Amino acid sequence: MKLSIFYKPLLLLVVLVITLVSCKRTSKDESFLGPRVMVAPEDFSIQGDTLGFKFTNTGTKVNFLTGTSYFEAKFSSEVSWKVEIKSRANGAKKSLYGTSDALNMVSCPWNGESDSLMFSNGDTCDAKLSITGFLDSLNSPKLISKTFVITKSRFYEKVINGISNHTIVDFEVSPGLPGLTEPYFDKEDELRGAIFSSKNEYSERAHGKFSLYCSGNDINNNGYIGGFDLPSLIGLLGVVKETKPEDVYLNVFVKGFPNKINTGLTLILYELDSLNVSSPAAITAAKGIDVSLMKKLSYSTDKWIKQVNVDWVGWRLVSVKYSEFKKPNTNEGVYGCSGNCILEPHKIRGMAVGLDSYPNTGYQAEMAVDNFVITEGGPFKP
Amino acid sequence: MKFKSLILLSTVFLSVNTYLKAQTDFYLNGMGRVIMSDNRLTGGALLGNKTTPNKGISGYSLFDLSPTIKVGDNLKVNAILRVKNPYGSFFGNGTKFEFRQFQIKGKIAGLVEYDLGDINVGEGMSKYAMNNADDLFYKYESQVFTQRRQILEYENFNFGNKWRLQGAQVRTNLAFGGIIDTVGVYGFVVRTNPTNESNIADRIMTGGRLGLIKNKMFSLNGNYVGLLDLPITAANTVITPSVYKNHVVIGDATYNLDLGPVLVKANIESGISSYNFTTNLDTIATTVSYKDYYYDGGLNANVKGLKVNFFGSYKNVGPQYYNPASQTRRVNVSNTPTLFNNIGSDPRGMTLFDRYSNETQYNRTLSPTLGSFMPQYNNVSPYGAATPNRTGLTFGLATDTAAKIINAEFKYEMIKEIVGENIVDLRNFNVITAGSSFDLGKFIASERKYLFLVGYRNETTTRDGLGKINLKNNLLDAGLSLEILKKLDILFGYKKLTSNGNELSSARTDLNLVGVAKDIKYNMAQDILSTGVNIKFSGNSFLNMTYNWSTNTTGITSQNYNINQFFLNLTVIL
Repeated sequence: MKLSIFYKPLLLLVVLVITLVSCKRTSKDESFLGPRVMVAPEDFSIQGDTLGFKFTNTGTKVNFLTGTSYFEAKFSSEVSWKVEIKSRANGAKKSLYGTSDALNMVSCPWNGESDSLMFSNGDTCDAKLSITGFLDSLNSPKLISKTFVITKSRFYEKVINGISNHTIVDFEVSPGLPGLTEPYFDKEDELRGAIFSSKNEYSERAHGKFSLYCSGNDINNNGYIGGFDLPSLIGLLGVVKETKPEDVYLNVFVKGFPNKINTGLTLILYELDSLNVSSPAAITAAKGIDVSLMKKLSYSTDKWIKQVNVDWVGWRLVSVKYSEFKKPNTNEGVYGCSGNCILEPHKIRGMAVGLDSYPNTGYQAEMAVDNFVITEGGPFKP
Repeated sequence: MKFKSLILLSTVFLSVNTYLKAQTDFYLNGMGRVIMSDNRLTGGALLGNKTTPNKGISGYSLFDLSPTIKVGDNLKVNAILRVKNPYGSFFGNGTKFEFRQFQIKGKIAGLVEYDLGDINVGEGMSKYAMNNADDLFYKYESQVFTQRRQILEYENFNFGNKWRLQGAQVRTNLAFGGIIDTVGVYGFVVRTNPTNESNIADRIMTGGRLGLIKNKMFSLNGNYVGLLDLPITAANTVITPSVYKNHVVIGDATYNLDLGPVLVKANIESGISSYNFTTNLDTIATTVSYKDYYYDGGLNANVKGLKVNFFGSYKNVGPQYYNPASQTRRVNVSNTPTLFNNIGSDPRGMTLFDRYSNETQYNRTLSPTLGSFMPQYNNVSPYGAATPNRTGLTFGLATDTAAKIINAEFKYEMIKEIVGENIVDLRNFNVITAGSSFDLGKFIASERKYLFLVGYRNETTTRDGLGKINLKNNLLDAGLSLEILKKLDILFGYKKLTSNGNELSSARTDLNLVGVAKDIKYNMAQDILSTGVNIKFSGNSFLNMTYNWSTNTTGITSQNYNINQFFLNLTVIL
């Protein structure tokens, strides 16, 4: 046997391994994978407060408009913990995680933000603390609970983490300006029971006590069922300062219902292209324009549309970039793309929302919507 | 892809027309099966509970008719038409008719074989490229369990380590002679996930194996598996479509050296994976990218005189080596058992007995993320050979497969993590696997079969430091199959799984990253005792009747329960 024949394959094997292993391992510099976790030792205890942990020092009520809110507890050693907060009103949730020997202002602050849905004024909430490795006799995590009431919920009408929030309507009893309050229907569909109505059942609201429930059947098979407008469609004048369409978002909580996969949410935004946005006086004057005069300004009116297929069940936060809005398929005269046909978020003047049978016409459609918010700098973070 | 059936049918007609003049054969195969079970649920978990159903009879009868048209040697079309009638349905009410399988096979120019339709993907590929691994050790289990498991495997298309998927595959072998004796080419393309033409993309898996050099002494092969989302236009949706890309390239080689009394076989393989996934988290597009590699090499020395193989290997599978084709688990532990699915208001968790009796416990498609697993069954390799974040030695000995009367093996694995999960300290795994079968019938030169089996697996997981782990799992198998009358076997089987200690398990996130660990304490024992008879008919047809006692003991009376089951399986294969 020739040595060359013997060694050639071995050489090939070595080259193969070296070649493939020379690829850099992404995790090479990581000391561990995933979030850090510390386990409670056998003699672990929660010290101090007889309740185990408490929410600030204000007893059972919290006001997110004043001071910094946080959970408090002292542990006998450093451990990984989780605080789960849930609203009894609408099921809004927030989970806080960490690894520390205490819960305090630094390790466990909570300013009323949520992971799903939103906490609201008057919500009764339950907070549950669990600690990794701290188990009861049934080997289930020992849960320490605390119940409290939110007297004042988180205030969003400001810049939070670089995102500027402008709530359009939350469908509460005293809706904020400008509000979506003027419903209209496809007449044939309305006769067959299309409705828009306030709902306050537990599962029907993402925020506060009410959402808007929309339902209808596209009897005449034209896709259109109904919608609702901002009053006079000028309520948003001067609200948005950002000029880049990709930095402006329209956000809304949308609830989908079972077996209603042809539900379409149509979002419509109107611009007033002739508006001098740098002049507060011009904005004030434009807000005084009535509907009849608006028709005369049709040459400077752009309409932008975005259709969303609500093919899910339950609540979901939908955030649409303004740059994803398109001009309508047909020029609709006074409310069509008859301005400069350029997306200019700083010239947004009004908004409308539609319920359609979409993507297929002729079907029943059902959804609930809540808390329309325009944000600048990123999508809405509840 | 919407018109898949039309395309397939057109292909059939076209092919049939093309080969009209060739000799055409038509034949029918079939498999009929009747399954009946009488079930009882008892135990401490039901004390004071009068609402949970605790008894029931279930089963079904089915017939899989398999017509095949063979046109010469170049085309074969096969379908399986299923009629299934669940127990309790009358006059056809509830009876289901379905296409269980549709395949077209053929040969182009007498050289390239192709399969279309429902195909078993991954033939000949490395286990790090394509694998459909069961994490339960059952090599030396009783025939009474094997027959139950085979029903589940048939229903879920678990044939070896291949995955049953829809698409096409081709293969050919080219003979060259000389040092490069043969070059083999195998390739496939399948769709693992259909688009909704909105925000979910078509997910296509493509890959293959190229045997570059193959001769008596040496073989060198390349493997590729890619799982990719086809780009779609996100029209009229607010949810940016997720985009998944995973590429795996593997090289493997074997080297055989016959030293006379000892035949040495060396094998080595290594591969890289590149993973990139963009998805929406809270409506914000988030992207993760990872690259990693693995290598696995070993030696096997076959001592011809002793008829024993001595083997040893070393592997290193990176923490972010991702390959859904080789890491998707065969068993989906998240599925709720169909038998007594709830006790009170709580869903009943999967037990050892469910793994042999629940047909819906298995994955039928590939998962882009590492699935959940139960550490009590297999903590070291829950995703098969390609389980990421593992390195270490394996060695042992086993009888040569040529030894038919006695088969035995012993294997020891010393494995540890490469990077800690949630903590810097590493898990260590020590696994002992042993088993033996003894065919007394062959030993005494009888025509009948008297088979004795015993298997054992011991797995210890430890981790020191602040996140201590100490978990001990044991799995014991004992089996007996005695052909007391010609074609009538008495069957006996026993399985016992125990798990004691604690583990901090981290489920994977939507991005396939390690999540927050949950602490779980284990103090459980599960037993299955099964006995019955197996009556063999002609061919592979048989009637199997067994009684099964299974227990689930946790140390907490209110969580303990037993499931007793009479099981009848009549299988007739035409």
